[in-house]
Amino acid sequence: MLVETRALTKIYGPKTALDHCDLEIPHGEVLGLLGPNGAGKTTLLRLLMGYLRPSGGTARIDGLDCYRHSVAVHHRVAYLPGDARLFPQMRGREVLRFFCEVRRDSDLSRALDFAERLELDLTGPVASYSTGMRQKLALAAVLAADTPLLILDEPTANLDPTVRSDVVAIVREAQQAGRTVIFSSHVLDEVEDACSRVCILRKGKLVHTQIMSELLRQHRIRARITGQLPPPPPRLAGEIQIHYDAADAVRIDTPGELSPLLGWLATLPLAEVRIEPFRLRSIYDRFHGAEVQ
Amino acid sequence: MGNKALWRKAISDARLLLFFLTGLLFCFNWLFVYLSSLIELGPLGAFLQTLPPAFEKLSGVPFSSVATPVGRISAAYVDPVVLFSTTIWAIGRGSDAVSGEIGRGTMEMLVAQPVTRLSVLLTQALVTTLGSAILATAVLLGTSAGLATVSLGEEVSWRPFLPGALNLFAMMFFLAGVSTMVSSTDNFRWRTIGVMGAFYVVQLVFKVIGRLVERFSWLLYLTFGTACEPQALVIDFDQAWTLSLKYDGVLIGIGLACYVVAAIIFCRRDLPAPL
Repeated sequence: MLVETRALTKIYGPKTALDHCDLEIPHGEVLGLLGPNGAGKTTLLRLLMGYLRPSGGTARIDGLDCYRHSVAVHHRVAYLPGDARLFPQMRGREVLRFFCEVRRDSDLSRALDFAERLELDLTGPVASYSTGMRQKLALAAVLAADTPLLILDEPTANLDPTVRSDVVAIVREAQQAGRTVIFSSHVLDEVEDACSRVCILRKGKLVHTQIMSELLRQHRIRARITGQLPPPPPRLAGEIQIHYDAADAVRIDTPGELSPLLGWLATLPLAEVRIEPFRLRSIYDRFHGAEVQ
Repeated sequence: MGNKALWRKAISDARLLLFFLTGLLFCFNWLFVYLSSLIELGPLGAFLQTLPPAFEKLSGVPFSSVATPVGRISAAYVDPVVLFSTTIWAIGRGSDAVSGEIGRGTMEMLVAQPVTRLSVLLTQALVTTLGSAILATAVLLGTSAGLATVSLGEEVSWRPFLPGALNLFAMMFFLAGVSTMVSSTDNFRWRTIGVMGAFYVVQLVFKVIGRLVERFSWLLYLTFGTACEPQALVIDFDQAWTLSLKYDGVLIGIGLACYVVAAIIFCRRDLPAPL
């Protein structure tokens, strides 16, 4: 495991920001962190970076304690904070040069390539940059470091849709290059596109872990009922879940392959049938939707 | 410690203020020598004798010594321009060390790099100390340039002014150390500056009361102002090096202790997310 936390806890006075978080991230995985503001995502990332002393439990990266051996850990991690702020008196290019010089695993030409890809003008002083430009600059600086672990805390915040897609593509490329990525975001579509596993946090607790390939195998069928619906055959009864949304509307959730279901579906008195893949939204809403609140 | 990029950043952060203050202190001290040359010693001595004894007590130097070529130039070392410039440098730089970077949100990216927190603090402290030495040198060079170019009626050496300049350096080191310590506990630079401003005023009040009121003379042990006597060190040249060792030793010793405390606090504290 590259990242490992055991009962990791952070308490601020009366508030428990992170509560006994157990997490394992193997090499090469892109892990998404989901949750609303205050769920504990950033606290978890800051504990991994050694910025915070844990109130309990441990956090390790590559076997190193994140708090005690933070410098050794930082040799293995490139981190983009949620609200990346850079030295306002420097010019864009100077910022990239600074970060490339401060860490030996970074490469200025790679940083410049990323800046070009993100369509960033490096000639002006950072003080004159918009929030989006600052975010792009920080991304270029972080991505230039050749580390086994990349931690991105809301990397697409303040970016336009085109650049957001670029960032997701860059994350995928990082995974293909064998790097591990922790990707925290509020944008479910991006997490769905970029991540192989997703952890959902709620009020400081890790409440659900979802493997994306399993989620993508699941489907939801919505239809209007035109007659009496017979019970499902025994081979499917344990597999599917049938919900009646209204007197004439049905929702059938299938956790696995769709093909065994198709023959049975064709025999049912249904109209206006819609088959849609299960989305992260439905999982997320289980923990943070209106019904929970 | 050996990270060139950190050094370059620390120097880049400091250079504008340092450049301005160096120029100001050099020119001011040169000008002060020139202006001193325009004041006749006889009338100055007579005027000083008319002042109430409390003024002499407060100034910390005998008025008879002030009415000399060295004495009147030494007043530059306690002139508000010099004291404020050196104080601005020390508190400005010290307050920026931790709470300044946290307040701007730049600490986050800085300590995400494989550098120790100690090296971040130490680099900043060394540049501040180097800057303090440059400012003290500018004061001395300004005086020396003035002495070399202005006619004072008799030859005055720059040597008596060296202990005074060293004392100014020690004061800057002390104030920067205390400011860095306060900064290391704080998240807002404006609050650090506020705390240091209040500290400075209280210390000044202690010095004034301690000097003027006999029964409160014990307050002189509680203020750095007691060890900050650049003018006295210039005037009393015979005792200057003995006093310099004592005064500067105290200021640098306490300043150093504050830096150590600052390093311990900064290396152990939680770093908040940008505010």
